[in-house]
Amino acid sequence: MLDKLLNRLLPIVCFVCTLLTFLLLVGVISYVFSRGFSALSWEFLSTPTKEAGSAGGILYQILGTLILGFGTTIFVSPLAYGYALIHSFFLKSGKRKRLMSVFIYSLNGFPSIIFGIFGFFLFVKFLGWGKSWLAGGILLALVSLPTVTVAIIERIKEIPSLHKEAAYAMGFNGEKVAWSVIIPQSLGGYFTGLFLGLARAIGETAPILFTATVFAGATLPTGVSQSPVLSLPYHLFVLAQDSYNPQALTNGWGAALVLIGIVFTLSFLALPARMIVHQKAKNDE
Amino acid sequence: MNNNVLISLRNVSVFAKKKQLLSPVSFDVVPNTIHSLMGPSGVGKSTLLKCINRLTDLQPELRVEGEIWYRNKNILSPRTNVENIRKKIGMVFQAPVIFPGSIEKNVLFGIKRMAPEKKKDFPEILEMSLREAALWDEVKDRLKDRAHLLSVGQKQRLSIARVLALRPEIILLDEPTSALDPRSTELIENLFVSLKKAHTLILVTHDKSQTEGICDSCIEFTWENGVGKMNEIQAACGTSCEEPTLTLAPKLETI
Ligand SMILES: Nc1ncnc2c1ncn2[C@@H]1O[C@H](COP(=O)(O)OP(=O)(O)O)[C@@H](O)[C@H]1O
Ligand SMILES: [Mg+2]
Repeated sequence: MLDKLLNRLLPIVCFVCTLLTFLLLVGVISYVFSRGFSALSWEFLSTPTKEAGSAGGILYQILGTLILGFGTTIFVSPLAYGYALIHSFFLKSGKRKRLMSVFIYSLNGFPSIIFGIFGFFLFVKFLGWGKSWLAGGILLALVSLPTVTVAIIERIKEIPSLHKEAAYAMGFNGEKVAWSVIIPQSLGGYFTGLFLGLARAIGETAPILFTATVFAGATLPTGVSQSPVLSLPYHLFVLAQDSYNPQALTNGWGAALVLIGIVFTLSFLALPARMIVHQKAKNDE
Repeated sequence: MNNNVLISLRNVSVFAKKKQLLSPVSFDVVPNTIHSLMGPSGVGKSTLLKCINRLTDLQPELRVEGEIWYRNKNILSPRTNVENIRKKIGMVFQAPVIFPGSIEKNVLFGIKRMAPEKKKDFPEILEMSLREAALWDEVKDRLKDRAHLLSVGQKQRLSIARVLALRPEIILLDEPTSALDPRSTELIENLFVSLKKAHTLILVTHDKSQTEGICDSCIEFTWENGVGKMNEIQAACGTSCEEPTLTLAPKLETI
């Protein structure tokens, strides 16, 4: 009796939850839209900030965020591929593999402010870089590392073992199999993970707060040390906190809208990458 | 060892952990012949084939005992360089192996990495291998097309072409036609007979008529107390083996 009732209820509960999720997302986006849309213009995107955010645009915040994304990509790519290859290709023993899985999933749950503080002591103080876009890239790479790594690992699992056997049977050693079979056939997973990881990383404030970004006075970095960048999340953070000027607040929402736009574009890019993976998997059958 | 023997298995047995999978097997393979291995499914034919190119190394739980002699070397010795052995002993699997990319890329997949110094000969190797695999006429105008678009029979010949590109002396074939239609099967059987001139083939098959049709000698496996076991060596079988070639493999010009 109760069983039957629960069975009936399950689809309804699922439906309500899905609807709530959807409404929440649409609600947040439309709110940001309504507050920030009036700030958007070509001029807003293409001119530097003036008067502490109440005038001008967000050109260097956009460029700074893209530079941080670039730094993230440079560092996360070899780290994630190395980790995934050791985990899913070179290691045979189950125990060490499990340990590596536990580690990467724990890293995913790591509070990002910890990365920020760690980075502050390592890059700003110990290495004496001051604030640097490179430190930001490295720390955001750590933030996105689990996403990228797991996406590669999942794809490596799907590679037919016959492909590996056939490569070994031609006399390939492990490194050759990795370069010719494992890496090319897991690239789809890498790109999916990279776009999703970047989408998460570039929205983070905590890791770059003390290490990479400033509110004003930076344009394009020219080196590594003492070369901070402006960034969209930090711009938003400051404007939302201290601005009593309504135009500055509107500009803050405008920056939020641009950030959401970049994040959505990245998530959207992740989609075709995943589809290519499925297409390939189908072909291999 | 007899001069006229290319590969000689001496008491080769296989264990998975403690469990025996295959009782000791001994037989010789004469160069430029097709040697078939037959028997029920699960009896250990594929596993024995993988002992010959040491592909069993990929499964650490398998233990192989005995000796496999090839050119005065014991393949099963731990000191043997497996990569060199596998270059000389190619393998074709039951299902075609097609890597993502073009037909050309698939043929050159192995040689490109095993002998990159021959780069300038690649066009020649490409054509020769496809000709040898009886596929050249069908694909010569679309070498850059995706290999996945080929039919199953063509894919299997492409898999064979990729192995041939490495100029192996011996080719191990694990039920290479069991996934194919009768026409493709016939085509590939004729192909094997022509490959015999320059290579030695060891063929696992379920098909008795295939053995009788194209093979020069044959080993049968059966079950004994749940362990795979080799029957007595049968005399040369089939029609094409009245005079087994008694010379060593005439080497193709090395490219
Ligand atoms: N790694 C392994 N561990 C345990 N048993 C195995 C392993 N590999 C193969 N076997 C067993 O060995 C037997 C022979 O397998 P196989 O060589 O594939 O047979 P065949 O090719 O004759 O059909 C099968 O019963 C299979 O279950
Ligand atoms: Mg088999």
